[in-house]
Amino acid sequence: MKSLRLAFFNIKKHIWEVLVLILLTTASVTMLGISLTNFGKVERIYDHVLEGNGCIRAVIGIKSEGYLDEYEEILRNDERVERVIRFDALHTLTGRMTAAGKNDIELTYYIVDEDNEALIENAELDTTLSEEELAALEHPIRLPYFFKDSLGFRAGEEATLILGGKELPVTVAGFYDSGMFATTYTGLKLVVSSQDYKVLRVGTDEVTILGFDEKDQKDPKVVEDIFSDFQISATEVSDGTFIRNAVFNDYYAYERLICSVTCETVLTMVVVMSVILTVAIAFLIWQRISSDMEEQIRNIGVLMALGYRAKDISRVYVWEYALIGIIGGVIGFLCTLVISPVFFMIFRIMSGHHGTVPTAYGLLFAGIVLMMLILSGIAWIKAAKVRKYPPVVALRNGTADHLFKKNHFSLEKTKNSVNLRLAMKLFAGKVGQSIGIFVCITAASTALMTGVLAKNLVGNDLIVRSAGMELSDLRMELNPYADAKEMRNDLLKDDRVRKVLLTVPLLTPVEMGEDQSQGLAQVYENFEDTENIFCTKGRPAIHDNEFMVNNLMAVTKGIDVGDEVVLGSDRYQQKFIVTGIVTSVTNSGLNIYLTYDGYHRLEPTSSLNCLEVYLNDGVDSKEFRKDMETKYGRSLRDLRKAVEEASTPEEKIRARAEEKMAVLISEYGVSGVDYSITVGETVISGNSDDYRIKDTSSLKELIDQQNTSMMIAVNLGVIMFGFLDLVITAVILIMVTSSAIRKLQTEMGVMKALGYTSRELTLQIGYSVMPPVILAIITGGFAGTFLIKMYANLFGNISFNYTHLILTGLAMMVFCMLISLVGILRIRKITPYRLMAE
Amino acid sequence: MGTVLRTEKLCKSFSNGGIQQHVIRNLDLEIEEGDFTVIMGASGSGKSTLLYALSGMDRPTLGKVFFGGEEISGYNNDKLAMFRRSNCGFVFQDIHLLNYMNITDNVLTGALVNKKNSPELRKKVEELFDRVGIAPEIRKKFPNQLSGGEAQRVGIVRAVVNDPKILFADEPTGSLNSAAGQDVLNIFTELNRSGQSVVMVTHDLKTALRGNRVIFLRDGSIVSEYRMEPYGGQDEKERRDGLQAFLEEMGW
Repeated sequence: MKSLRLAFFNIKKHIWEVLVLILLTTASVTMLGISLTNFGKVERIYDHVLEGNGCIRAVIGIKSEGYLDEYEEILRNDERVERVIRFDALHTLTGRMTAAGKNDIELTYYIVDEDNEALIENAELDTTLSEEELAALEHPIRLPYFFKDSLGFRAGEEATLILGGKELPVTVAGFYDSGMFATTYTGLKLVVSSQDYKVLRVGTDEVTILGFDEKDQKDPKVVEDIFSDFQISATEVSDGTFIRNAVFNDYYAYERLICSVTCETVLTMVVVMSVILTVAIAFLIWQRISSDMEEQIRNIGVLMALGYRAKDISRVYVWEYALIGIIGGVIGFLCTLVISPVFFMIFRIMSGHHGTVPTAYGLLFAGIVLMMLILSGIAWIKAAKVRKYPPVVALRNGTADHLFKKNHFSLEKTKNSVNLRLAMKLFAGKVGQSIGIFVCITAASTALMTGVLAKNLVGNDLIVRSAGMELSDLRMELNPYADAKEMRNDLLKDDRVRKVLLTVPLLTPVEMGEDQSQGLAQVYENFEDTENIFCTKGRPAIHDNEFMVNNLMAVTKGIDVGDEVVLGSDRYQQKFIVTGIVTSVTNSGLNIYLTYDGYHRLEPTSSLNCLEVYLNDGVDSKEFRKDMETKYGRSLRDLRKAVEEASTPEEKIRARAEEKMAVLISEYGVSGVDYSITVGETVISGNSDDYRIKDTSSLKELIDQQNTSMMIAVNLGVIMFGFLDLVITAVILIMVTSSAIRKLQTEMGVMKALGYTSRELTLQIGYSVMPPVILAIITGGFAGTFLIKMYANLFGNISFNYTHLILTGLAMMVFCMLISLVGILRIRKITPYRLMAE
Repeated sequence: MGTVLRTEKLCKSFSNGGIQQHVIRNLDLEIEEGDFTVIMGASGSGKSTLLYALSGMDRPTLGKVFFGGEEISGYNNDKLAMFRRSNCGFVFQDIHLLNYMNITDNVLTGALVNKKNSPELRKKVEELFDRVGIAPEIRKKFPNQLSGGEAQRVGIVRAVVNDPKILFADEPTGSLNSAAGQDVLNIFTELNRSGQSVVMVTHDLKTALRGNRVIFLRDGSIVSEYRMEPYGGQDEKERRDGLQAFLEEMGW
């Protein structure tokens, strides 16, 4: 009990330092607690949603135009499959939702009607509207929770759904926790009425989706095997057309990963921060005990001379830090109880799923106990050093320690600043302290630099530069009859337009290799005109027998520049030579780059009917897009409105004629229409010039919106890391420098007596802690770069903008120097007067 | 010989637990250039406080300190530091060498604050070491490897390396044995003979005999002072008797 009392006495004596350690311990335990209580929770929520809604787990999507009934039979006959459903959905890669007061939401959507939704899942509708109000809605739409939580939509709110130039006014009926297509990465499932579905179906790609559950849900390879066998059978029955129409998706595994990945990224960052904080606490305890032992060395000698054993004295330190661990652990536990649910709520919003699952508090207790053991253990190891001080050494102020030292940075070799030399002397005399500072600040700066680079990685510029696709200001897919070249010439006359490139629609399939694996064609007349397709190896394709492949495919297929590879369509197979490897983070690494002449060898009847429009600087792309849609892409909504609003017989006839023309163009692929109707003496005529655009999109905006939650997570992480780093760095440096001053009080007094000013001494101590700090920041920069590059290399040779990294490093160095100076401020209070003989 | 240091109504008080303690009271004093001034007095009489106030180590509570006609008592801390580095040398009872560097660097720490490193400076340090009897083989040792006498001799070299106008010493032999103390005092005497002004605090008669002027303090005021011939200039017995008589008169 004597040890405990002495421990309390020590705590009281160093109350401010103890409070700082308790605060840091609390923060570390809280972070650990938040992570332990939330890890895996989002995945469990998703399981809960899936089970509650009765949603199927895997899907095979087939373009409806290429769907065969035999496919369903193949699946039903598979013994590994438990339940099979079939439903239709409209799929748009870049559909838009607009609402008053909100930005356009350009994302990938799956649109289903209520009947098909009933086949997919039975999610409860979360709405504030009454039954009567719901029944009265003319164009109801049910939205996944993403719209409510992330975009702020409310039940009863009016919005407009825009698909391929068609605008459908809708009213939000409510929201639901979707088990399928609930995130921006997978696409979002919107549920509309059967009538609206029919309207939207005109001119929009429809997919027939076969959904199923596997019997053995524990083996993650089963679904993959089912897909593989299904592909073989379906290819046989379809004479090879299946492959270019199908997409496989182990939806359960994918959605589980997607909805939790950002949350778990944040939690991983929190764990890393907790570990860094624990390392910092360990160092501070180490430093604190070391400093205390040096200060108390005579008292230790007296106690030992009085008969105290070394372990009696070291037990005091163990008690002191165990108490700090207990207090910090308990407060951390209470903080976790408050903060953990807040994090969970944020994670639910980020994942797009609601619901609750129980929290595992057992792990939290384990974390707290672990923390107390770490703190006490560190204290025990360091305090055991008291054995090195038998009374005679202790009473000589540890003289033994000072013998046989090397005289580093001899002043005889001083060239310019004696202060810098003296600082280096102080630095060299504190190797242990320098190693501690180096370890802690390296950990902190590695985390910060990794965060800065991660922000850079997911930031728009980098994603854009690494997309491996042209991200023009506007992409316009034209109706089949429209003359793309003529329209390009028209557009080039517009002052706002800088450049127009011709290409093929998004998701144009190309088969590659002997296994006929699916690729997606990126076709341009001349790759020298493209702005965002870069070869990291080789050169762009020029001739019709050349192509480039994306880096992921090159790695997985073992393809290199100079290889000959067979590419194919459903009609032709041709040999091509790989001329280059392109960095590409889009389309799951399926991009294949062909010149138009090359593509023509596979699809001789094809034409480039998509326009990539690049605008001049300062041009409002949204305004331009609106102008283009008005000029070249009148919508069915406009037509229906025209029919409804027509008052004179002539207007009614014109409206009906225009409507018929639009349906012919959109639904039946008619290439162009001219009409002329004579009513009495009046001739009503028109043509299809206004219906050239099938769809408009902006991939840049799509990528922006898809990355929103990841960006939020990364930004949040960077802010948290940044803040924590500053706190850790500040605490370490202030404690180290103030402890240095405490230990060097006499020496500083002597220096003042010799004529050194407070400013000079401040700089000496400040400089003395800077070498490990600078080295740690540089090491952190390299370590962060290494970690991020390791991750980024999965996508290809991505070049980073290191300016932010360098600026962050420099800012951190300045911050460290300033903080050190703050810690040293009390040097001004030291007076040589204290050197007076007593 | 002119006045190098002068005080006017010098007062120094300390506050201890809210209680004001007046250690130096309205003290007027002049220190002549080339003198070896010894400050004596009972414990608590204010000897060291006076020394530190004279040397610009501490600022007076009231009154003025003039150095060569310039008032230094109004200087801020940095200016006082600059003043000390150019004009003062200090020898402490506890020696206070810096343990984290060898003794050559200890001396250079004092020198380089005021001058640039040069072969001349290093030669001067070597000469000073020779002068005080610090053998070359121990010049690279650390302070804790030296005897008390050796350490104090190094302390003196550090104090005089900048050619200070006044050398202040606070009980320089207080922690030394008799033989080592005499060696150190011989150095002080030699320095004084070569023209170095010295102000030394001591309560030891033998040490005080090295001076040519003894000031006696009581309760922070100069009670009296005693002047004698410089050390070695007259019969030592006569000097000792004269000083002893003075001190006895002072109640020492």
